[in-house]
Amino acid sequence: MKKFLILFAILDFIFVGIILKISSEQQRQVASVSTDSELTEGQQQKLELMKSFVFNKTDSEVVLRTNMLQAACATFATIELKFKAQGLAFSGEPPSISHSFSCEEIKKDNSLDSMVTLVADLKSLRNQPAIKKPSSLLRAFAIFSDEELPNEWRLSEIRFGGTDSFSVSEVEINKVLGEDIFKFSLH
Amino acid sequence: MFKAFYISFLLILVLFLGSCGKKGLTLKIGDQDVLALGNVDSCNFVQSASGLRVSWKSSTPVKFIIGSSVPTKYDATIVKAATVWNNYMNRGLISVHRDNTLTNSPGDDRYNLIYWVTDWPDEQAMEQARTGIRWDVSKLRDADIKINADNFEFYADGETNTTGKVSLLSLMIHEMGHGIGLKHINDIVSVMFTHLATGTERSSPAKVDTDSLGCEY
Repeated sequence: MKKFLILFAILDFIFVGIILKISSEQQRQVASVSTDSELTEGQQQKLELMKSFVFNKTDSEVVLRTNMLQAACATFATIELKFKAQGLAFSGEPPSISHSFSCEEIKKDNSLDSMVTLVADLKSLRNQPAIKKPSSLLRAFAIFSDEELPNEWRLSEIRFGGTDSFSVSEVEINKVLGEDIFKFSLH
Repeated sequence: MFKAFYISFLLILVLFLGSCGKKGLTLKIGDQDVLALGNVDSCNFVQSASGLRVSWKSSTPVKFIIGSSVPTKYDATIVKAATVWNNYMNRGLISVHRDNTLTNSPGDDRYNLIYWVTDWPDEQAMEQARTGIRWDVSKLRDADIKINADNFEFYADGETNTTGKVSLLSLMIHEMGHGIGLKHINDIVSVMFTHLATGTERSSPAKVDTDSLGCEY
């Protein structure tokens, strides 16, 4: 009997081990490789870019800083930050806000290393679908004037637009930088 | 000792390991998925930031309440919408009853209320209805359905004068779909298709609808 129990326990360990191995092999992207040496050159650059992100939220602004901002803008035309509300959805769609920055404007000040979104702008999107700023554009999706503005948000995607566009997805942010790193409250 | 070791390991498996395949591999606590291992198929469900499908899990039937704002002549149609889902899923997934004593505003109050709204924001005048859902981790805790009676007219199930009116049965089946976690499905046969034209009936869930729900319920 004891031998059977030991056998079952060993089989359990093997079963769980196999499943965990399979699940980690499903996404062999930046987010799931075990060592940097397994990455292609493009993935390496993407990983370095992600690791350079510094996120900060104060009462008045949400700031994403990277010392690679100017380098990114040398290649891309726009950088879009996508914020997604947490824990709620309207008609199947979580409220979200897109803040798209013009690289042309960013390059005008070569000391600029951060993208700033004003909290006041985020809040005012409850009553207007878009805000046009001199160097950026904010747009709201599934945010309604007759619903409460969601409180809990997360920077969920960073999209670099241009001829060779790419984006840093929510899954990649979560896995490389951690799930809570880009979370913030609005109120 | 070995027996205790084995039993505890078995408990870990039962309590924390979800299921594979279409449902995706997840770690569970109780009935709630708390962590996705690898990619989880959305199955047309709203997903949490962690990629988990959000649903009511084992907390069914989901109880929708017809609020006092809804004209009573529509009660039977709204109840039938729930019955359609229950019949297609072959289980008591949704229940509906009227409670005129509840005067709550739409919001996070854990009452799944249905509202008849006669003062709809002008900028959203094209919306026939809106369902708001709220969840913790991956389990829904609140769903409210608002019907736009400001900009649309509706006809009840069995009503013959349908010209220029929206089928309330079709609309409620769609909104209840959102209320139990489904997103829009870009397939004209689906009851979760985005647009419902006036005078059009779409009151029979398609295979894509029931297959989707089958991932969670």
